[in-house]
Amino acid sequence: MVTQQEIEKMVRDIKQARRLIKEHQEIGVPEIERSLRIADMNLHWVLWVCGEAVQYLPDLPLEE
Amino acid sequence: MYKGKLLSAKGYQARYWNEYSQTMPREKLNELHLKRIKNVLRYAYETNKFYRELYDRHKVNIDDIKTLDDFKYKVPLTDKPMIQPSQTPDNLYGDNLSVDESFIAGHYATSGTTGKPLYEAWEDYAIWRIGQSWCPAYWSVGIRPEDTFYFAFDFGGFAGFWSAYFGALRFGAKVISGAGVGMTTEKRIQQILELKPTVLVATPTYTLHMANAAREMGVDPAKTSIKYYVGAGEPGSASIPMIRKKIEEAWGCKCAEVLGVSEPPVVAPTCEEGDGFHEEEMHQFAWVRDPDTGKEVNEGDVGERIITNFSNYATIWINYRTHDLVRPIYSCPCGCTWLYYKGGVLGRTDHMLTYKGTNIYQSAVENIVSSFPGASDYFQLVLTRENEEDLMTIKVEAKEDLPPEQYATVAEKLRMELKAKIGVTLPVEVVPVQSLPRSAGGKTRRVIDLRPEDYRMELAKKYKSFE
Repeated sequence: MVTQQEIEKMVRDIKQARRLIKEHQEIGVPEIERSLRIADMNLHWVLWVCGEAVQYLPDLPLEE
Repeated sequence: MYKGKLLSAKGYQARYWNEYSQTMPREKLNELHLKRIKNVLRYAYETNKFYRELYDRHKVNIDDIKTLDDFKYKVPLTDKPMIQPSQTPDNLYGDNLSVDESFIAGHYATSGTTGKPLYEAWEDYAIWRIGQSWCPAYWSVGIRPEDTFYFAFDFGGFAGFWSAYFGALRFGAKVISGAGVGMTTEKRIQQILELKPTVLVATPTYTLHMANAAREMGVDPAKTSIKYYVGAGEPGSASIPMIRKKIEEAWGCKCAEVLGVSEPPVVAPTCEEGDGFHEEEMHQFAWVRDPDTGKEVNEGDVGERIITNFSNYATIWINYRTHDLVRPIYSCPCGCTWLYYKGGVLGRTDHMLTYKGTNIYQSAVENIVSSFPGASDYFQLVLTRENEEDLMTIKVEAKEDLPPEQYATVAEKLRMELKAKIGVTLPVEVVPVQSLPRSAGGKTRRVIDLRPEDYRMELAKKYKSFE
């Protein structure tokens, strides 16, 4: 069973990863922009199933 | 040879697809649902004409929604007939669309049982998010990412099996499509023998039909590579124990089933303990409503499943009536905290028959037949069961002015009309005027069920509690 501590650390790291991804989402290279968008969706989903994300649109401002 | 693994050793040992979310305490789940519901309500009001007009008409103030009970009783229910009229050839998705068309990544439709399918738009996130709703069911029955799925269905616009396909990809499995021009049951059996899939996905009746076809080819389905069966499209292995037993015996496999509706196509996974489903509470909030009083039923009582979906921001479903009758239980021996529907789907709030995976409403057939040139208002739906499949024949009386020599022509045209509007091929027989029996009120008995008594008893048990 995963511990609450493990979940909390992972959530912090994923939020940081999403912030980093968002910095590059308008880089102007379609392949990279689409890939980063998909990466961000995946990270949003991890936060969602951990009960962190409550805004179901990944494009909306990050929830802290 | 590359020696990588699809999951870590710890991941393979996990009991659940996601233990953290599937065993989340009820208080935490409800707290999350309320926050997510408020966000969905605000989003829908800001982006979606259907919901904005609905909430304005009903004077819904989203700031007044402070509890889940507020949501259940202050926010109006929605239903397919409320949404469908705005869908036109020039406005495919109607008023229930929250995004610019450029965001739409998938076009799907219900099976068109009311004579006209309801279109729904999926955005790119929804495609794998909805697909993923199948994964808890796959995992719970013992399927793992190393397994190979065989999809024994034609890839049309029906959302259900597409989501199963996306889910299998998301799960990490190998997928084989059993669709294609000229595909037959025999060819699918040959493919199973050749490609050795371990998971079969199909409707329950077709799965039993495949088993019979295999035997006729001299193949014992129980000795093929199939180890798991995942059913959808009609009540089967979870809702009807007799069908589960037959599938397990025929294929020598373990059964899983999911519960879903085409609109929102998120599915509820079968419970590993056996006879029911768990609501997928990361994708949806659900409550069970007494159709008579409009109030939430007590635990263990039967009512209608009402859902609010979190997995598609293109087409929105809030407090949506599924018309599925279920029995909610808030604790399950399997340990999953998600709402449990004991016994699966127990029936429908409106009269409906399921034929080869497609839901058929009596009213839909009635609408088509009664307005069809040459056909009268007197008709019967005759149900029989052959080779493990439900069969339905429509017997309709001719109009008084129709010459008998035109009966066959009218029958063929009506058959084609039903196929076009309902999506299934039903045998049609036009019979002489006054040849169908009338009840005291002068109406024909619409549904004549000639299926075997033991099969009907199995179905009847599902309805007993609310008759």
